[in-house]
Amino acid sequence: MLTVEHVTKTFSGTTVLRDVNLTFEQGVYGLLAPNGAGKSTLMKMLATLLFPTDGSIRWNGEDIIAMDDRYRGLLGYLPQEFGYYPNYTPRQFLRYIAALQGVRRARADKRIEKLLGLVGLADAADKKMKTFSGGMIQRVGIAQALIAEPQLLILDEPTAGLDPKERVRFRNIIHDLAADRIVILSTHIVSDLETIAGKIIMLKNAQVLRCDTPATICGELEGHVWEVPGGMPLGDGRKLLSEVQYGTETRQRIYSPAPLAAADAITPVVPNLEDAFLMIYGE
Amino acid sequence: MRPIDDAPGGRIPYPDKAERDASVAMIVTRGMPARMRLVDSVAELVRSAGLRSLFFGVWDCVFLGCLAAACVWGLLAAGADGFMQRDSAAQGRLMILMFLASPFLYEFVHLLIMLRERERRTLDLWRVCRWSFHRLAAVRMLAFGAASVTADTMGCVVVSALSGRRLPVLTMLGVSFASLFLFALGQLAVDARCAWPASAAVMPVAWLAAGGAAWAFSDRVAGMMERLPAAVSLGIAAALAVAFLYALRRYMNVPASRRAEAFA
Repeated sequence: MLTVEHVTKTFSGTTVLRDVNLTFEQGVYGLLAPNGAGKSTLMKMLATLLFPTDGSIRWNGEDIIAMDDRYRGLLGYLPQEFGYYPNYTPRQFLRYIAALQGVRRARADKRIEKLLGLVGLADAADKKMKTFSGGMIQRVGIAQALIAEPQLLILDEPTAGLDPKERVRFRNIIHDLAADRIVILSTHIVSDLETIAGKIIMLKNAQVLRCDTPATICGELEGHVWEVPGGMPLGDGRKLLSEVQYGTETRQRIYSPAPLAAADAITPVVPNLEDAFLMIYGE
Repeated sequence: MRPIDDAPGGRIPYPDKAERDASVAMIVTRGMPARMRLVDSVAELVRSAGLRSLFFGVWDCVFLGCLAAACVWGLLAAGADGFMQRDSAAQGRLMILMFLASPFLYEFVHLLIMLRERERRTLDLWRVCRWSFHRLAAVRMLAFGAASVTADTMGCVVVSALSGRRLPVLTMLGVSFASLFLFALGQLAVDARCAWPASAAVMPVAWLAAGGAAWAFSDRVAGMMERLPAAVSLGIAAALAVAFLYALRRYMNVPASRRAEAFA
């Protein structure tokens, strides 16, 4: 179990995170917030790249900074900007990571074979990474995060720059991995979390705004999200969430605090996580 | 133990001072992490990660550094004969140049590797691996140091051979090693206290400034260098080497809470 206890982080007088309290157990946790909200800062503190200005982060009750290499040994981390050496193959790169993680060579080789198969790079294991697409590089990143069979997986914006097919593949991998470990992934792409996250953590104004299941978060908007014709005046209290294109017709997806009068072109819709995101973070 | 009398129901055995001190000592001994010797720390990392892993991805930086150092020493060696014929204090001035040039391989490789890791954005990844980045960096510094000692030794011998005079090789070696370990010690202190990119610039700038000052007063400095006994120069070098190794062990074992944060 990983606990974040009253953690505050300040950079040069600016408070990026204030009194954050969170508990992580087995499963997938999605850290959802717009750019600049403090997601990466929190992820880096969980990965011991940054230290809390106040408060502590504990693994099974023990401070993760004091644990030092014992904590890093159970951690798998994929940074927001995954660095690699282009003139090396994935196999060589993963061997290096395994060596730095203290995994013995014989075991590392077996593990690398398995991981390259898991991320769909078995055929490209011995090709130089400078020939890889962005999605393939990201898959190498996921494989390196798993090399030491971590109990805690921290993935910072893992789907940034991936095409839809790659993102679906990624979601399937994460879903399989979460069965017996803690997976924390940060993103501002809502659809990545909707189907795989057991809990969503939303940050706003340097604090944790919500920590709940997607169903609970979306359930609060039940009965309040409507699709109406494009250009329809909104009126008091209503909020435009997004526009949806149906062929040549544009319709608006809106939030209304009160039910709308039934009409042919006005339909209630099931609220999704994107609606919640836009409601919370929209201006 | 001595009993105390005022406990209800009889005497309670209470530890005396010697027993309390022994208990505290046992708790401290078991609770404090054992201090690892530098050679044990290095051996543990090399055994686990392998020698080739230490410079994975940066072998070209090592090669470039060696090439550049060979050029610097080559220039010194090529100009030694002509230099020695210019004036009477030439030997001392040559030693000043050798003092300035000795840390070149060490620093150049160090800088190239830091630039490479930042350019490829791999530092964050290394910092979260089980083997601490400090330990890996310390082992690399040892390797650079050993390579520099080798290069400086060869450079001194070649310069002496090509100078056309019988230069005191042992004194030159002492001056060269003292320079190397003094620079390495300074760089270690800067790395522990300054963030990048300042940490990359402080020592080279300070070294060049000191070198400029030494050259400006080269008449006096050259004279001192020429009169320097071999035993003194080698002794100073040995002392600086010990100080460097001690500082390196401290750097390697710095607790996580006192390490610099990664670039946010």
